[in-house]
Amino acid sequence: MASKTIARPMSEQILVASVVILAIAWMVPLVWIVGLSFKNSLELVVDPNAVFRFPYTLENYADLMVTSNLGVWLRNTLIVTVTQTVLVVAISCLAGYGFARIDFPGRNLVFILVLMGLAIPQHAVIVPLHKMFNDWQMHNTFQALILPGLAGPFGVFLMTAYFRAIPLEIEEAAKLDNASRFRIFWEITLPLAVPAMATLAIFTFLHSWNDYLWPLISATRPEMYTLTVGLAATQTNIDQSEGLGYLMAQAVFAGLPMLILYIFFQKYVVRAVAGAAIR
Amino acid sequence: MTDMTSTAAGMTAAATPRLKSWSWTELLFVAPYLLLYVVFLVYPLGLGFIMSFQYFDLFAGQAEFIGLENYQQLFSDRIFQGAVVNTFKFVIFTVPTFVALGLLIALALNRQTWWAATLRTLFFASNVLSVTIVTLIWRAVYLPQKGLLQNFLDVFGIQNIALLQDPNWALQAIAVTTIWWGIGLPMVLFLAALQQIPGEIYEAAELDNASPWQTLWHITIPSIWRTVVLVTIIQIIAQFQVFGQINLMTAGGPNNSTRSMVQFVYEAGFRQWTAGFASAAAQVLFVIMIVAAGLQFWVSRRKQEF
Amino acid sequence: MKLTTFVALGALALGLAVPTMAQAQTEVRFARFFGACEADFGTNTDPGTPSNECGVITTLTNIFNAENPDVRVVPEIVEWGPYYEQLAGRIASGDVPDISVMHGDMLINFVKRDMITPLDEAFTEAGIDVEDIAPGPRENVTIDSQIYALPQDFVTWLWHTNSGTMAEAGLGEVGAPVYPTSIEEMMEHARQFKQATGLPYLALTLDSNAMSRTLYTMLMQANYNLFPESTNQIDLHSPGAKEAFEALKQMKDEGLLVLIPDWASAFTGFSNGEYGNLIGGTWQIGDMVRLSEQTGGALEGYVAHVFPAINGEPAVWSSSHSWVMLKGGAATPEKREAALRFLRFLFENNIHWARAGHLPMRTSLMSDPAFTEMPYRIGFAEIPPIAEHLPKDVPQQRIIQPFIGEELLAALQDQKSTDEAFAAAEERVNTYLSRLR
Repeated sequence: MASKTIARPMSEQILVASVVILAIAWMVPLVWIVGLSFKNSLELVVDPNAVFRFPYTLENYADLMVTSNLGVWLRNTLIVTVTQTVLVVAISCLAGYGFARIDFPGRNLVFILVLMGLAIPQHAVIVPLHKMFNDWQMHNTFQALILPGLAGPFGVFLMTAYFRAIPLEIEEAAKLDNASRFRIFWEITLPLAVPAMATLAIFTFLHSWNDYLWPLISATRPEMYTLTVGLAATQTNIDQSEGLGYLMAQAVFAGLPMLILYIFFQKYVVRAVAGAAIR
Repeated sequence: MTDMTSTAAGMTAAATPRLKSWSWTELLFVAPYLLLYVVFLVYPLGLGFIMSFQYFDLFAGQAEFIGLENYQQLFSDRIFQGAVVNTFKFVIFTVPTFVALGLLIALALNRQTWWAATLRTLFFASNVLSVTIVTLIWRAVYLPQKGLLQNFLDVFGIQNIALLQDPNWALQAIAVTTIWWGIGLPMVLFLAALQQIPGEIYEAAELDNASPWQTLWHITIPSIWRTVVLVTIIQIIAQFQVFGQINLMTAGGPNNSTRSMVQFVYEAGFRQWTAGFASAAAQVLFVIMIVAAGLQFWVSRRKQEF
Repeated sequence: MKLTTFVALGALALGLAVPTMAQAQTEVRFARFFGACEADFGTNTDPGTPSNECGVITTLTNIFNAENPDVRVVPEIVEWGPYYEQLAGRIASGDVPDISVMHGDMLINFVKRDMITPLDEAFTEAGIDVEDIAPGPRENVTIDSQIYALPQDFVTWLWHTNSGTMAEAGLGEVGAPVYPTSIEEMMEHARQFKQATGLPYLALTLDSNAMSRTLYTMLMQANYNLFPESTNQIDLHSPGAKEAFEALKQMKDEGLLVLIPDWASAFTGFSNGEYGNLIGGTWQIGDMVRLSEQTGGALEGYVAHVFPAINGEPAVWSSSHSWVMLKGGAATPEKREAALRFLRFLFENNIHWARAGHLPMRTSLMSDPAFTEMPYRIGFAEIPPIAEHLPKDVPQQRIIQPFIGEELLAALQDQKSTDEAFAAAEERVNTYLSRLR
C-alpha cells in the first residue's frame, strides 16, 4: 500500500483521531436504537431517559413475533429480490452477449439507444407505470413488483462491456466444431463472465431489497407489502404516544439479516457497489 | 474494473471483429431485454409525456387533453418552485460533504491494519440498510425531548431541540441522515483510487520535504481527480432524486421546507389525484436528470484530461 | 391423452374444492386503519378491556368471528397515512376489499367516481335501523338522497384538561374545571393560570391537522362560512377569519399557549402536568386515561371536555368514521350476506366503540348510561347537535386541511406574517381545488 511509505506526522495523527471519533458517532445511533428496542414503550413515553436504566425487556421482540406481518413481508421481499436478481443476471448475460458478439444490422444504434436509458430515472416514469399496471389490473402481484425492475439497462451495459473484453479466439475453436451459438455462449463464454455476474447479482440484490417508491404505490395490500414498505407504513405512528420500543425492535429485526450478510460477504459487496457506481 | 466498464469502452462496439454472419434466431439473445426495455422504460416515458398534457385521474382512469395547462400551472406553482429550490439546496448540502468527508475517511483508513479494516466495514455498513430502517433510526435520534440528539444536548443544557419540526433545520437534518446512510460509497471509491497512486511519487515528495498539506494538494488530489469528479456526479444524480428519507421523515414539511421534486411528483400523482400535473413535474425532473447524465458521459469520455 | 386426463382431473378437483371451501367459511376482507394490536388483543373477546380504537375494533372482529363460524372477517390493516391512496389504487386495479373504513369527508371523492355502492336497500335487508343513526352523521353520508355508508361515530375536537392544576389556579374543582366562554375570558383564565402555576394554559401540537381543526372549530363557532361561493373555492380573507387566529397568536406571544413539536412530546408533557389543557381529539382519550393511571400524581383529575365555545356559539369541528362497501367488492351473494351481517354486528355493538373516546352514532345510545357514565368525559352529551363539518361536497378535505394548518403554524411560529399565511393558505387550497375535475 502506497501510503505506508510516508512518515506519520502530527497532522496524520489528527486525521486518524478525528476519523475514529467520527466512527464512534456513526455507531452511536445503532447502539441507541438497539437499547430502545429492549425498553417498554409506555415507560419511554413517561420518561424519555428510561433507556439508560434497568429494567430491560424482551417484550417488544415477543410482540414482534405475534403481531407483526414481518414474516410475510420478509417472504415477499425475498421472492421479489431473488427473482429479480436471477432474471436481471440471466437477461443481461443474454443481451450482453448479443450486443458483444452478434453483428446484426443496426446493432450499434440499438445499443446506443439502450445506453441512453441509463439516463431515465425510474422516478420520472412512476406515474405512467402505475397507470399501465392499473390497465392490466396487475397491481398487488409479484409480477408487478418484479417486472419494472428488469428494464434498467445497467446490467446489459455491464455484461456487454465484459463480454467484449473476452478474446474472440476462445470461441473460434468451438466454432470449428460447429457448435450452436447458444452452446458456445453457455459452455465457453458464460463461465468466464462469472465475476461480472456476481457483481451484477449483488448490486441488483441490494437495489431490489431496498426499493421503496415503486412497491409503495404498487403493493397496496398489506399482504403484498415488501419489508421496506411495511416498515414505512408502521412508522407513520412513530410520534404517536407509544410504540417507540416496538418500532425500534422492528428496525433491528429487519436490518439485521442484511447487516449479517454484509459482514460475511463484505469484500464482494463493496466491490459490486463500487463497480456499479463507476460503470 | 474502471476501464472495463467505462462508458467509453461501451461505445466502441463497431470495433469488435465479426465472428460470423448473424442469423435471425440469434436475435433471441437480445430480444427478451429489448422487449422489457421498450415496455417498461421507453413506453412509459412516452406515455408520461402524453399524460403531462392531460387532466388525468389515475384512479378513475379518466383523461382529458388540456394542452399546456399543467405546465402553466406548474411553473406558477409556488410549492413546485419551492420543491426545485429545496432539491438544489439538498444537493448543495450533501454532495460536497460526501466528497470531502468520503476523501477524509479514505485518507485515514487507507492502510492495512485491523482497526482500519474494522472502521471501513463500519462506515460502509449503513449503506446496506434500506431507507425505512435508516429513517426509523434517525427519527428516533431526532425525536423531540427523548431523542438521542436531545439527550446528548441535555449535557450542555440545550433544551427543546426539534430539528425535523424546524423549517430552518429540517433539510439539513435529513442531509445528515443521508450522509450517514451513504458515506460508504464515496469512501470505497476514494480508497480504490488512492491505492492506484504509485508509492514513488510520495517518496519523491518526501525527499523534497513537502508538508502533508502540500502532498495532499499537489500529489494526492491531482492523482485521483477523476474519482473526485466521478463521485461528485454520482452523488448529484442520486441526491437530485431524493425521496424516501423526505417522505418518511417530514413528508415535505415543516412550512414546505423539505419538499423535493420527487416528493412533489409523488404527492401530486398519488396523494392528490392529479396525475397529469404530476407527469408534467416528472418531465422537468427528467430534463434535469438528462443534463446530469450528459455531464457524466462527457466526463467519462474525457477521462484522460483528468 | 395424458394431458387431457390431467386437466380434467384438475378441473374436477378445483370444481369440488371451491364450493366446499366457500360453504365452510365465507371470507370478508375488511380494509381499515386504526393499527394492529394482536399482541394485546389478538384473542381477546371481552369488549370491556380495550380502551383504544385498535383494541376495540380487533376485539369486535374476534367476537364476530367467534359467533359466526361460517364467516371469517379478515382485517387488512393499512396505516392511516397512505390509506386512501392505497384504497383508490386497489379499486383502480380491480382488487377491492368487501368492507372498508372511510372518513365521512372522504366519501364524496369516491361517490363522484362511482366507486361506492349505495346501502339503502342493504340496510333494510340487514335489519339496520337507519332512523337510529344520529341526524348529523346520517346527513354526512347521504349524497343525492342515497346513503353510501354506515357511520360509526362522532369524531370531535376537544381539550384534554389537567383539572388538578386548573383547580390550583382557581379555575374550578378537581374533576370539574371551569372553561371560558369568550376569547377575552380565555385570556383572563390563561393569565390567571400562568400567574398561579407558572405554566402555560394551553398546548397545541405542531401538527398541521391540529392547527386546521382548531381554526375550523373557532370559525364554526363564529358561523363563518368557509365556502360561500362554491365548494371548490375557500374564503379565508373575510372578516373574522384572522381574528380567531390572532387570539391564539397573542396567547403564544404571551407564553400562555405553548407549541409542542409532536404528539409523543405532547403526551409526555401533559402527563407530567406541564400545561393546563392540551388541544386534541376524541381518539386520544383512551390512551390519555391509560397514561394518567400510569403516572398517578401529576395528572390528577384528567378530564376531556368538548372544545369550549370561545368564539361565539357552541360548535365543534367533527368528522366520522364510516363503513362502506366499494363497488366490485362483496361480489358473490354469500359474501354480500356475510358482509352485511358484519355491518349489522358493528351497528349493534356501537357502544363499545365509544370506549376509545369517540361518541357513538346511534341516537338511542346518547342517553344510555353505558355511554353517559363513561369516565373522564365532560359535556359529551351536548356534542351531537353542535358537531359540524365542512360542506360534504368539498373534495379532498384531507389534502387541503394540512395546507391550511402548515401555513398557519408557520405564522404562529413567526416564520410568516399572519396575512401572508392566510393568503398563502387560501391560494394553495384554491389552486389545488381548481386543478380537480
